Amino acid sequence: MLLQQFVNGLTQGSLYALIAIGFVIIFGTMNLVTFAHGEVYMVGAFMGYFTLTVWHLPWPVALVLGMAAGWSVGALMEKVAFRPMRTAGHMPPLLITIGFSIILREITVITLGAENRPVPSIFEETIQIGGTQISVLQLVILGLAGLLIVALRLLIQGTKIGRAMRATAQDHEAAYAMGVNADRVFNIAFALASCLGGAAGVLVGIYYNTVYATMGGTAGLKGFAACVFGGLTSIPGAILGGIIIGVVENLTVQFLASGYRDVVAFLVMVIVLVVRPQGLLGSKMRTV
Amino acid sequence: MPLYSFTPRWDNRWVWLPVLAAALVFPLLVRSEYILNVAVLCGIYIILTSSLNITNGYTGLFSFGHAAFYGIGAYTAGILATRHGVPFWLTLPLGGIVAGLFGVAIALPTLRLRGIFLALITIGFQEIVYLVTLNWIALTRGPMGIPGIPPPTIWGFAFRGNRDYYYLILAMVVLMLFLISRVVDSRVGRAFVAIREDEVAAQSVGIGIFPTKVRSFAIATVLAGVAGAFFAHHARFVSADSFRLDETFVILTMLIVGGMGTLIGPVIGAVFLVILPEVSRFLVEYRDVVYGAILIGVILFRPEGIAGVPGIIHAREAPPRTKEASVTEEPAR
Amino acid sequence: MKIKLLGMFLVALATALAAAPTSWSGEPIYVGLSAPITGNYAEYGNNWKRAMDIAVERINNAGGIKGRPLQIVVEDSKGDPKEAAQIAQKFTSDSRIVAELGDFTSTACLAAQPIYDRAGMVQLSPTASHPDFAPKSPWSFGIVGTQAAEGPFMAGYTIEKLGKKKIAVLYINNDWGIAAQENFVKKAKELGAQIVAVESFFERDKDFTGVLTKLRGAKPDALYIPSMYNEGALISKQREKLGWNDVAVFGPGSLYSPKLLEIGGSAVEGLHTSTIFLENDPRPEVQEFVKTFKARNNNVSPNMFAAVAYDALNILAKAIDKAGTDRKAIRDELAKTRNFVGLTGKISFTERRDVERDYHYLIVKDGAWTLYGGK
Repeated sequence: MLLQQFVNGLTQGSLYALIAIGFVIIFGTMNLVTFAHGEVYMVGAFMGYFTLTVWHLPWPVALVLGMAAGWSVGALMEKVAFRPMRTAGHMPPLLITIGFSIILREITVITLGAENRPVPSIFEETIQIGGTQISVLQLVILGLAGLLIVALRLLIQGTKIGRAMRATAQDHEAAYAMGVNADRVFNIAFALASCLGGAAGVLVGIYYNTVYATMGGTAGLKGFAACVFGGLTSIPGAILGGIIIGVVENLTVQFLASGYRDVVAFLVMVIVLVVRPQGLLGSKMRTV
Repeated sequence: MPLYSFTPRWDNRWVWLPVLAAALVFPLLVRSEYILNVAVLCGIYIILTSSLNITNGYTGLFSFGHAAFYGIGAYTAGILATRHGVPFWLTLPLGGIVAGLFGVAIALPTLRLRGIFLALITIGFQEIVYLVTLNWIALTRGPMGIPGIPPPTIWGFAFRGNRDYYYLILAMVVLMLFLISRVVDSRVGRAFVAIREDEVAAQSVGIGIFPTKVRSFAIATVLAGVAGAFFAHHARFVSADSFRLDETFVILTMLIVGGMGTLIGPVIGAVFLVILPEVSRFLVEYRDVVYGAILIGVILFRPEGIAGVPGIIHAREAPPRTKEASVTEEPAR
Repeated sequence: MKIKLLGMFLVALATALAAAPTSWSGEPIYVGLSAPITGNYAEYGNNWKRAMDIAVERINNAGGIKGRPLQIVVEDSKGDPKEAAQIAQKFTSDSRIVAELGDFTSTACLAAQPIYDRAGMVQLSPTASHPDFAPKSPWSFGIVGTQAAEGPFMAGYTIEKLGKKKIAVLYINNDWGIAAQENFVKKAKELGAQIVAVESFFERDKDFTGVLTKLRGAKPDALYIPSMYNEGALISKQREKLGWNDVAVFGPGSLYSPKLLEIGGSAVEGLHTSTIFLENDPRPEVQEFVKTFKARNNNVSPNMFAAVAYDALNILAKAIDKAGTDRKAIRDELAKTRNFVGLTGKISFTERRDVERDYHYLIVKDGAWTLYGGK
């Protein structure tokens, strides 16, 4: 029972982590918080839905298309809304992302309806470990999330654009002085974060067998909480944050009541912000 | 005289007296319950937006949890009225006081956080209040909400139609605007603005940053609570779903569109954005898209809104050059 | 406001003229519909609208109500009680509107109730099944039956008919779900079964793996899930994914819908529920309704919600036909409805203004809804 809850939590946590990493990339590189990330995730999820349910293509295609959709939406948003606002501080871009999140969500509701869209089941088998049954799907999702994270690390550590992103994150004026094209870096960073969000969306659709237009709201907030918990600028922190929140949520369901599950993420976020605002693994930054 | 600097004074009474007179006569000419209902809603949102203006507009804080205090006021009034028979003239101030107490309790550990972190923590607080309200069924009846809240009875006169509510909220709005204009003109108000413009400079002239911020938060949350209590007795039903992050965004949008940091900005923003969805009800599906588009449009093309202090959105600090902590670093403009 | 009313009137008139086979002898009769057209419950609200449109067309093609066309004024409540209350304000202050149909959830109906009660307008909800709703106001009517009857019926189905002894309950945490769970549990205990676990979830929850794992630990032989068909399907799928297949699943009639089968797939095989509407009911009016509905709905069959909406409109139309357009007269006439035969069977209002329903046993067999033994 406990093992099953742990696996539940781990799986969900890895999905939160994917969303949280997106926030970290955006905040770390561009010093921006976006409220539209949940909706980007939802767009990816719907792309996954179309691929699997409507076009009957295999799930790897769904994952790739979902990531592509996320990337495109992210790149577009950055170009249209953030570039003009780059020197405006935190608030204006934040407010713009609120507007975007509303628009994305409502357009989806208008064009595609507010109902749950079914996503076919993949990997329906379970394997027996000890006294509990573990679902193969959960293990696959864990594996895929892990793979994406490793790929991301390779990208950031090993490629030229990755170095450019890290340099910009550390000191964007110095990076500029070194010949890094800030526009390009910001655009790619945002698109990359959104791409991960899209991937998370596809995986969530497969995991829960459903996508719906309003799925971005809570997911975005919880990804946020995970990101804050781990440290706004730390990718490993985001992963840790996501997993811890996922596991604690399921333990709360097991030992308390399922109604309190959602409180966990926000309680964690609030406590971290009061006690250690830079998060578990974040570097000390100006938070006061 | 630019719109944003308008404050009602004796010498410009020819501007605001006719408006006030029209507002007083309005329900005598218009009999439709529905229109009066919209007018009452305008009043409630004027109070909400003006109260958010105190923290976000005048003081430059990023409070994103406003709907929670609105809700706390509403639930306080609802619970006291239905379960303990407390009369309206008590539930109204009590709603404000309880919300204010929560406001101060939240402010104390969190107001030392800057900008975006305050925003995050107020969001977290907001969600927690929502979830606790949903789960604590013994106190709040959870998702079933609190129905059957009685209409106000003032000195034996029981409210019936929307006209009664209208006159009350009109009086409340006028009183509130008067109070806010007094506060803004006082040392307290000037301290708010000083903090918004340049926190370091404010500190150097002896303004206590933390107590001033808490004061700002307290005033704003008390007002929000009062609006909530009024709402409870008007809608006669409160449910947690009315007080989520979405609602905070609605109030915030009204503030942005109307203009931050001025007396009249919130009024304009609230009235505009309450009336817009009502006259565009036939655009049923596109209503929220229009909201989002207006918000984006305002930020991109006229960030100070219709009647806000010009440049106020950019009066926040730009991101610091580096992330490392730096005691002496000044916010870049 | 005036221009808008004029515009609406012109549109209504144009529509009426377009639809009418003969010339009308009077202005349209307006009935208000408060339903979730957008939002969480949008599919239910839209199903209602489709069904009611079919009913209105039938009535108007047969000459309308005393020569006047019937017209529905639709307002989107989004399933939000606050909106429902506001719409109530709007409807009651519009003198052309003679009665109201809606809302979908018991909570929304309860929020709007004081307004309809104070203004004196019929509030007929096709789906509110909370036992306290209709009795609270003389103007409120519910036709789907209440949980006070369905809960015990399902308890009997589970315990007496299928011999289950240890039951876990997973209910949706709103007015309706709480009432459904309470009534079921009370009767189940009377019948001697053991309730081993009770957990709830909120409307927007999509993840049930945690709570299902917890319920599984209590080792029940039956799982009772008072929820809408969306959550019901998701719960079933996640249950299947966790490999928990040695439990029988039951739920009230809210689960009965073709969408449950579509979303649930193999996971809902063997699920038991009740119904007051049967798609393959051989009666001609049912078959005609099903055919017309499918033609307009991408060949998807109507569910119980569509059927009760259809019945609600027809019952109201009949009352208006008899009583005229005075709001109070309509209410009095409606309250007298006895043995009205609708798609969902015989409908009579009790003194509490709700309906005592006869339920049928239903099960999912080979991917289709089938009657189960007994009735």
